[in-house]
This record gives sequence, C-alpha cells and structure tokens, in this order.
Amino acid sequence: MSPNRPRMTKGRSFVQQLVLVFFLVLLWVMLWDSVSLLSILTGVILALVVTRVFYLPPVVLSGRFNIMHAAVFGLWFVYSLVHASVEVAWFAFRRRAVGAGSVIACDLRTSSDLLMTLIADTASLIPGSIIIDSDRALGILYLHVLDCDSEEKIRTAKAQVYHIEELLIRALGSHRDLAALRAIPDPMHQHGGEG
Amino acid sequence: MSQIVLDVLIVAASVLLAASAVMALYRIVRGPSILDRMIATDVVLASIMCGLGGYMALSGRTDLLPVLIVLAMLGFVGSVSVSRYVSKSDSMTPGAEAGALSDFSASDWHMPKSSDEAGSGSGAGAGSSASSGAATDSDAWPDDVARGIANVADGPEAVTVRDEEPVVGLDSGSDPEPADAHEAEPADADEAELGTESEAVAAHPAGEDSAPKREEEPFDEHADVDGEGLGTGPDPGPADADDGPDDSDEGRGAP
Amino acid sequence: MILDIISAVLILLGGVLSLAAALGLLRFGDLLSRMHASAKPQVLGLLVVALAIAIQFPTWATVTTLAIVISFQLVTIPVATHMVGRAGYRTKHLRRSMLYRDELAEAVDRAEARELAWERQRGTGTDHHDG
Repeated sequence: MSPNRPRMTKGRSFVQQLVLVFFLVLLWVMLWDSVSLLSILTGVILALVVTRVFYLPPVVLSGRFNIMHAAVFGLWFVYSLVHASVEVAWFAFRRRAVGAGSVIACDLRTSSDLLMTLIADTASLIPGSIIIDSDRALGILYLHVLDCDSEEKIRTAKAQVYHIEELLIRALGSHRDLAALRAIPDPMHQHGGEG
Repeated sequence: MSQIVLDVLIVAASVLLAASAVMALYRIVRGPSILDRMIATDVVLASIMCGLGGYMALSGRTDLLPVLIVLAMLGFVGSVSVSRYVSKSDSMTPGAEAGALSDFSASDWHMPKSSDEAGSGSGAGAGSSASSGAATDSDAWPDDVARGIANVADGPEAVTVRDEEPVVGLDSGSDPEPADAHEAEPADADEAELGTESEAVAAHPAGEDSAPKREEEPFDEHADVDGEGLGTGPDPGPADADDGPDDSDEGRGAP
Repeated sequence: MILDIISAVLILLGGVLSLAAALGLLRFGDLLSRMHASAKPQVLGLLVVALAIAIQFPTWATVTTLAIVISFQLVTIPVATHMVGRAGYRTKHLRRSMLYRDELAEAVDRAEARELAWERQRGTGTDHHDG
C-alpha cells in the first residue's frame, strides 16, 4: 500500500524468523514446565516445522524497542484496565444502566500495520471501547465507545486512544512514527474541530 | 475463625459465579439475535474459567491448568465463527421475518422522529449532514447515496441485471477521466475495508439504473444492507475478512 | 491461612466482575453495549483469578503457565469482540437510536457521495438518479 514502508531485506527477514522461533521455543518450554535439553531441542524442531508449514506474512518490525516506555505502557495499561473495569461494572449495577454510545473515528498519526493492530487491541481490551472498523490506508480507527452521549465524553474517548498511540509509538514505533508523533503532539486540537 | 471467613468467602464467590452463568443463560434464551447469544456464551465461558481457577486455587491442585490454557486459547472461536457468517436472515428469532423493522424504524437513519431518544437527534443530524437531512422519504437525495441503499424491493429483479442493459462495472473505467475522478478513486479504494457495504453499492448502480419501482417503496434501509438481496446468492461474509489484497479491484470505486 | 484468605478474596472479586458482566448483559440496551459488558470478566476476572492461583502456588512452572493463559486471553478477546462488533454494526442489530454520534456512517456517506459524483461524471446512466 504505502510505498514508504521499510523494506524487508533478507537480513531483517532472517532475524524476524529467529525471533519468532525463539518465542515459540519459549512457549513450548513454558508449557512443559521444564527447561531441559530435550524440551529445548524438541521445541526448536517444532518451532521450525510450524514456521515453515504455517507460513505467516512477515510483520515489519521497526527494529526499535524501548524497554522503559514499554514498561510505562504496561503499567498504564493495567491501571487503565482496572479503572475502566470498575467503571463499566458500576454502569451495570447503577440504576440508570447505560446511555447512548458513539462510534468515533480516530485519525492516527502512525500508518504502520503492527502499531495500528496493537492500538486497536489495546483499545478493545480496555473496557469502554471496541474497535469496529479500520481504514488501513488512511490510518483511521473506528471505535464504539460505551456511554458516550456528550461532546465531552467523545473528547475523552478520543484522547485516550491518542494516548495509547503515543505510548506505543514511544515503545516500539519506527523513526517515522516518532517524527509523526513529534509533528502532531496533540491531535485533538490539531485539526479544526475534531472531537 | 479464619476457617469460617474462608468458607463464607468461598461460598459467596461460588454463588456469584453461578448467578452470572444463570443470567447469561437467560440472555442466551432471550437474546433477540444470534450475536447476543454468542456473547452470552462467552460470559458463561468466562464464568467457567473463573470457577475453574478458583477451584484450583482453593483445593490445591494444578493439574487442571492445561484445561484453562485450552479454554483461553480456543474459547473465542465460537463467537468469531458465528459472527463471520451472520446474515440478516439468520439472526432473527423465529416469528419475525427477515427485514422486519423490529428494533428501530427507518426514521432513525436520517430523520429524528422524536427528541426523546437523545441519541438519534444529534446522531442523525450529524450523520445526515452529507445527505442534506432528507426530511421526506429521501426525495431530496438520490436513493443510492442514502447509505448506499436504494429503495429496492426485496426481489431478484431489483438486483438482477437485464440483458439489454450495458453492464458498467465500477472498475471498468478506462475513459479519459477528469482530475477529480482520479482523486476520488484512490480514496474510495482505500475505504474498501468497509467490505460488505461496498458490495451493496456495487450491486446497486449496475442493477438499479432501470429498476422502475424504487420510488414506490418506502425507504427501507435494511434492503441489501450487506449486499444480501435475494438475488445475490449465499452470504459471502465480510468481504475484507479474506486474506490477500482486496482493495485493488474488488472494492474499487466503492467505499 | 492468610494466603488462603487473600486468594479467596481475589476469587470473590472475580465473581463480582462476572456478576457485573452478566448484569450488564441483561440490562444494557443494545448489542454493542452488551458486548462491552461481556468482555470484562474475560480480561480482569481471569487476571484476578490467575493472581489467586499464583499466590497459592508460587512456583515458576505455575506462574509461567498462568502467564501463557493470560497472554492468550489478551490476544484473543479483542479479536472476538471486534468480529462480533463489526457484524453487529453492519447488520440490522445496530440500534441507531442508541448511537449519539456515528462517525463511521458519516465517512461511509461521504465516500458514497464521492462515488456517486464520480459516477455521474462518467455519465453511466445517471439520469435516473436525479430526484
């Protein structure tokens, strides 16, 4: 689609396969609850077989992983999960139940597939928003937000999605994404009257 | 003393989990659509997983952990499979015809009928800004622009292309185009992610050009919402759920 | 013993979340809202119960297995909710009256209007569409 995606060179592709095999072996070892030569060996064999037989199209990683920002993202995610779960549980118990929702569009600054997927996943996991549709080429996510019947709540919901995007770009975005992040630090007030 | 506290806590947790399963069961029975039933099944599954985890924690056995793994890995397959193939005709409880306006009326789309539903007023107002707020049955706005659904009778003739008409596919545009058509094209191809609605729009201009009865039908937005009119065969499912590039020629010229 | 009580409290919390989800299923008005309610116990409820198990069996084997369970849940729940949500939005299960603002519909409208304008320009039998 976009001609500016980083090229998948042979080197990148090999490293990617290696990373995939490593995580599969890790999963195998964890399932068997034993770190022995036998389990690692069988894990490697099975991982190689699986990645050959069920060949997935390569995901273009950006090659950048900032552990600090990833930890920040993880902590914010857990906090937000708990907070939003309590909020939605409160909706279920209170008298008024829930009002109208909204389908909002969030114009993301990144256009990378992996980041869009992660943002959509995170937004879906945090109770209160569900990803309904996406426009991959334009980089727009459409989410349904629970109990969102005023402009203020729409703004809050969009701000949360942009915050997720910012945290993820800082954690594992490419340099282009980082530049886009710097160029548009506050997408709520950037475009005239968005949100 | 602490044993009593423990027992009370365990009993309370079990009662809550059982109650949640029973309430979800009510939704399974009652749910007006199959999707409601599927998400209620997911809640039952989640309650089972919590119950299993609780049992493991409190009875001191971990040999049930693989069960938890399998449930976590594969518990979503039911919902995904059903939602992949849900179609207009499958999802109503028996006794209601497909296309019956049970949940809401046609006016919810563009005309706020009353102001008590706070949602439809501003929602319709915002949504119909492009369609210039057709106050009447979309006379002011050409039919097939109003949500891509025209006043189509639910009949095979409405979507069948007759022999004597030239079939102009939307992707057969090879004439020299003015500039703005070129910039409309890539933007529209990009919106092919909205898969099934593209089929509705694609089906309509081809078969709709000479359908004579569209003015007589009331505006029925259910007709062919997903391109599932009776003449289009089995429901193909969401078009962009297939792998492979589908925004090159399948959705070209259609959102 | 105190560990047992902590585990029991955590499991009770999981039970409360499941109850909230089921109540939401009953009380919320339309399909999309109910879906928000149903996804909750699958995430936080399971997290809390996994914590309870990890407290009881603090061995590496159990903890890694629980990490696997949680990560699989985190990966599969958004997929399921998205698929159901998309199907619910596109078919008639959507209650328009329960939507305050629908920016997806606006985008689709815009795209269709563009499409119609383009098609008109090409002159493909557009005379029928005028009024």
